[in-house]
Amino acid sequence: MTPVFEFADVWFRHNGQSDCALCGLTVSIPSGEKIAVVGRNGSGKSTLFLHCNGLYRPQQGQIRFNGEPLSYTRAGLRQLRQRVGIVFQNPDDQLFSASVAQDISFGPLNLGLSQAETTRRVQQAAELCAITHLLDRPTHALSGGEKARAAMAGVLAMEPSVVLADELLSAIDPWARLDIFEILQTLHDHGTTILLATHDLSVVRYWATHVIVLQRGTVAFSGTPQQLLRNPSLLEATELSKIWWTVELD
Amino acid sequence: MLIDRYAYGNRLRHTEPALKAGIALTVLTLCLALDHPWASLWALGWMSLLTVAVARIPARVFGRILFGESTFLALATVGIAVTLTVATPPDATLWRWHVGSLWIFGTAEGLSAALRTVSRALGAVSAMNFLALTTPLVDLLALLRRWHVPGALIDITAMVYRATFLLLDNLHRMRTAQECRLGYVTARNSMHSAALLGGNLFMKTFQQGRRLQYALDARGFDGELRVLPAKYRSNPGLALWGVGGVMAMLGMWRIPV
Repeated sequence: MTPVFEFADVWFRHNGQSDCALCGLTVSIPSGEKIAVVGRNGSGKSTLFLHCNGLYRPQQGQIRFNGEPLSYTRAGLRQLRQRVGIVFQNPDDQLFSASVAQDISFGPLNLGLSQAETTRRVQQAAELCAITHLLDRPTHALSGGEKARAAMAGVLAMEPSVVLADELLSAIDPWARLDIFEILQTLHDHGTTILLATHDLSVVRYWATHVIVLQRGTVAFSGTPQQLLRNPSLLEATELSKIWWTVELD
Repeated sequence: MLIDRYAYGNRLRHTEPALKAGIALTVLTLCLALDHPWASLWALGWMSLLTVAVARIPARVFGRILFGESTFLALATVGIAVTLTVATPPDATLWRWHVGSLWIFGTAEGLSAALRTVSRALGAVSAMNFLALTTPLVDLLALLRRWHVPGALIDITAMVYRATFLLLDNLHRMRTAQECRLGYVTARNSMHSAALLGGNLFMKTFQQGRRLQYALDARGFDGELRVLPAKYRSNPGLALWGVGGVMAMLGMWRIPV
């Protein structure tokens, strides 16, 4: 099966910074998997995601989406963003509209969909994220977990085939995390590829079907969770041995 | 924050905003155009009744907001009612004080003009209070869009509205963090902490703005914030109240002052 994304020797440096955020990153991201992207702060997880959505453009190297090089024209980006949705770490960065329903409707309307189809999608995404009772509420009056689900609904309403969730779980309680995992599982059951940036090895152990470990802007490992967690030298090399006690192996 | 909370939780929340805005703007215009104290006082009473009895905004809340506005108005109209001069005042004054070389006095005309101004302004602000307390900004923006107000202006207002809450949230968290580390125990370090807070708040807001831009772009933003229009209910009862109130206001206008 063609990988959903292929990064070939991608380099990226943020403005005014001497260190590279992505330093010759090369990786194939398999399609239809639940992928955990693991790495310390500053390892390049968010930068990788922003490249996947075309928000950042590689300064060197190439990115392919479903076998085709990314196009950075207006039409190309529109097509890419229709198929690749990104949920940001802090939902407050994403929720801009005064009411939840209006915020969710933003993406579908930008795709040029009719009001009737947009309304259907808003309702469908809200049902999937269990926020139908919040549709009329102002976004600033939501709890952290509700904001995360509203932000997720805003992306899902665009019906993307790939969902990138950037450390979405880091600021919400375990109950809200369960809700998010339920949503992600439903998406996966429908064939959506999911990339979840996380620091939590239990996500790698119990949720992911594929794991990518980033280290200083490069890929230190890409493979199955079993391959990673049963390989002590690999855990040592990727510094995950320091936190691997957080999960139990069979 | 207070106004916003009640705007989302009152009995007229789902009523067509054009009707509420129509009533409020008509009353506002009549208060300004008629310039008649009885008509203005009628508007004040009528708008208060609509807000408290019909929309079910607690009288305490409405009173608190009106009190704040009245205080501001009273201070602003002191200049109309009271005259300060070094020259000897005319004979026809209601009262006069001689303080050093200054004369402070009030005349019947000045008092009458001040009362007219206060009643006129209170009638007008009560109409605006009615609109603000019963209609969330999101509905007002949708209404402005229907009235063909330029999209960019509406988008900026929507973003400022959202950013206000984010800014207040950041401000609260940063100030709490400073207080936890004794940032406001003396006047001197309070000033220092406040200055640091201001600078950091600006940087944080700037960074948040950039992340918001990414989030908008990721969902296909092309320069216009398109969102679904909300659905509202018609309210013939309120429309009747509106027509009746305006007729009564015009009737008051006939009363000689």
